[in-house]
Amino acid sequence: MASASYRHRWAILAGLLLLFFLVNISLGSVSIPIMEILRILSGGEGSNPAWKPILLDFRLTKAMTCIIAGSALSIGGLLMQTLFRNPLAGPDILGLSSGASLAVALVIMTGSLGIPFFYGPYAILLAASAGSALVFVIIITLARKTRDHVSLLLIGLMIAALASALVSILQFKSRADDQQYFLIWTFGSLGGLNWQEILWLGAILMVGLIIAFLLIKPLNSWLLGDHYAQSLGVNIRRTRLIMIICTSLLAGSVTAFCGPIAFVGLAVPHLTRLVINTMDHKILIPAVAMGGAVFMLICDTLSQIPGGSFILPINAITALAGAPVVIWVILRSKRVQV
Amino acid sequence: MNSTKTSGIPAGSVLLRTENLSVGFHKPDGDLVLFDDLNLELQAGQLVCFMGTNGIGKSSLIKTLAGLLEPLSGNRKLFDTDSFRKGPEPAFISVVLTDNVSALNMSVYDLVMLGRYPFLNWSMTIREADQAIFQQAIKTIRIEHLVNKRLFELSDGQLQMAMLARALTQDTPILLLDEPTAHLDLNNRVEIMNLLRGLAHETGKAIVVATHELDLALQTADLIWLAGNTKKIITGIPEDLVLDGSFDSIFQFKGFDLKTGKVQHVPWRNVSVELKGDGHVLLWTKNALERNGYQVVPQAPIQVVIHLNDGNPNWQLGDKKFSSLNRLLEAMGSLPT
Repeated sequence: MASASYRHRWAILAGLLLLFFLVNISLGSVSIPIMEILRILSGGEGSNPAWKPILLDFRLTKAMTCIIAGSALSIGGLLMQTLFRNPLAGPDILGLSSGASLAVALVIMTGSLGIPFFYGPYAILLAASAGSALVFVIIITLARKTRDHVSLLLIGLMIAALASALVSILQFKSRADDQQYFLIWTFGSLGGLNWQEILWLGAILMVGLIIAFLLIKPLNSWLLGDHYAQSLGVNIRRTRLIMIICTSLLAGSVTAFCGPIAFVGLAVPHLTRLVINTMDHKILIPAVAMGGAVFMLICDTLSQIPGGSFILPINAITALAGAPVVIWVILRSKRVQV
Repeated sequence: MNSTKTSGIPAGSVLLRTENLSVGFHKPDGDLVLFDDLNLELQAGQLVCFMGTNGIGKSSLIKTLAGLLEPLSGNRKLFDTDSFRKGPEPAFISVVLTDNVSALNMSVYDLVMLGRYPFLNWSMTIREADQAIFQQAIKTIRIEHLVNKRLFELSDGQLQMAMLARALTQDTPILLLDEPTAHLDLNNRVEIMNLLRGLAHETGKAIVVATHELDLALQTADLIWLAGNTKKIITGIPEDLVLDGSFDSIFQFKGFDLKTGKVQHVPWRNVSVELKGDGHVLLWTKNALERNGYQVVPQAPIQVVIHLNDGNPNWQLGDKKFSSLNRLLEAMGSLPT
């Protein structure tokens, strides 16, 4: 439909984004008045000199990470739901995060097996990237061999199963300390990125968004099924390959920087349709990107509310906050659509 | 459709031709051949009804002609080229398939507008000309009132009409339609077939309709493609194929005589009836009697006479009169045989 009819809906999404961005950065173990926050954000100095670094180097980096990671995972989820024409698909359906988990588990837990432990701030990042990339190469190779999307879906699930089996074996043989460390990584983490890393992640998100946007026409045609899409001039194999590359880029890099954050990619496309109910990817892609940012900001805010002294794992919150809403959406609309 | 692109194709020019086309699937244990060595010609301005029994491969041929399925061998030639063309041709061929549409949250507007996609730029800017073709299509199919509905709100028949409107919106010289009327009621079925024929004749489009509606096909098609049991396709005008027995041999009609257009009845009662009267009342009375196992003959001891009083028929059996055929049949059922 004409995008004009969605104008006020855009305003809702933009309003939510701004609101939860401000809520997110104004909450934390140190309380900073909202007027001070606005003053610091607009380039001024806070009444307390400690506030500025807290805000800029800790809260703002985390909020930006939320926005970028939420958008990236949600776009990945949307692409996979369209590719498989299945509302249950998400970016982790390709097995990327499982590959990353396996690689990270290897790095963390091989120490106890007597293999030299290379360890440092970038070891985890490198391992996660390499794990995602390896699974990506496997998936791409197999995607070229199979025409059938369902086969590809099953292959993704099998790779995930293989990876988690290997992780289980590693866990069984490893030290309690290393297990604990790995477990914390699997919870996901949105803090701890510096501005340079955020810039990287943001650049990857932009590339992913541009690729997704160039695909809006084939994506819309895709919804009718392979044969109709082909009859409208869509090159099925090429489009599928680009969709997989785009999703892998987005989900893989988020996993590398933030750990395997689950549920966001699955839930956000459905939640976004609560606000903008359309099948048109020209509208869906920016809407889902904004929806993902909002959802992640909300989840991160919730993770630090209780007591303020400790932070709950983000992966627990995404499901805790999202699952009831998705169930409600399903019951309300009687059917879930891709 | 008042499209500049397809109007003005001279009738009779060949839009699509197959050369030694074989249709089927590659299988590990040898090819499954559905049609072999086909040399078909699709002419501008023709409505072709493609008929054949279930499982003979109609959908596969439609997909192969549309370039959605690779032929086992042979070629497909399109009208403006001398060379063979492979693959889908969005500007020349539009399709309605029997594939299920899973994206039911889509609006009818979005669905029908997909027909314009091959002609839009990457950001899908819809131009006035596209709007005009869209409007024309939904007006032709008469689904203006459905435009803002979502697909899950439609009945199967309405969904089919929307799919048809989508194909028309693509505005191609060739339309390949696989059972486009399967879910429609009789009125809509007749209307759609008439509309397709009109479209073919007026705009010079070539339209192939795979269908099981024998009666409709016989009355509307310019040409019949009849899929035989020999992996070939018999082509001809409907009447010729009826009279030379092609239909009978392929469909193996059981208890239906195509040449008279009647279902065969067994006179199981062993009772002969003589019928006096004329016009359509006579025909329907004969039908009722035969359907109930009576044999209607020129001379018989039992006589039924049809009278018309001010246009209302009644039936006389012996000295009794009946105002409906049902009453007459009841009375005849109680006669001693």
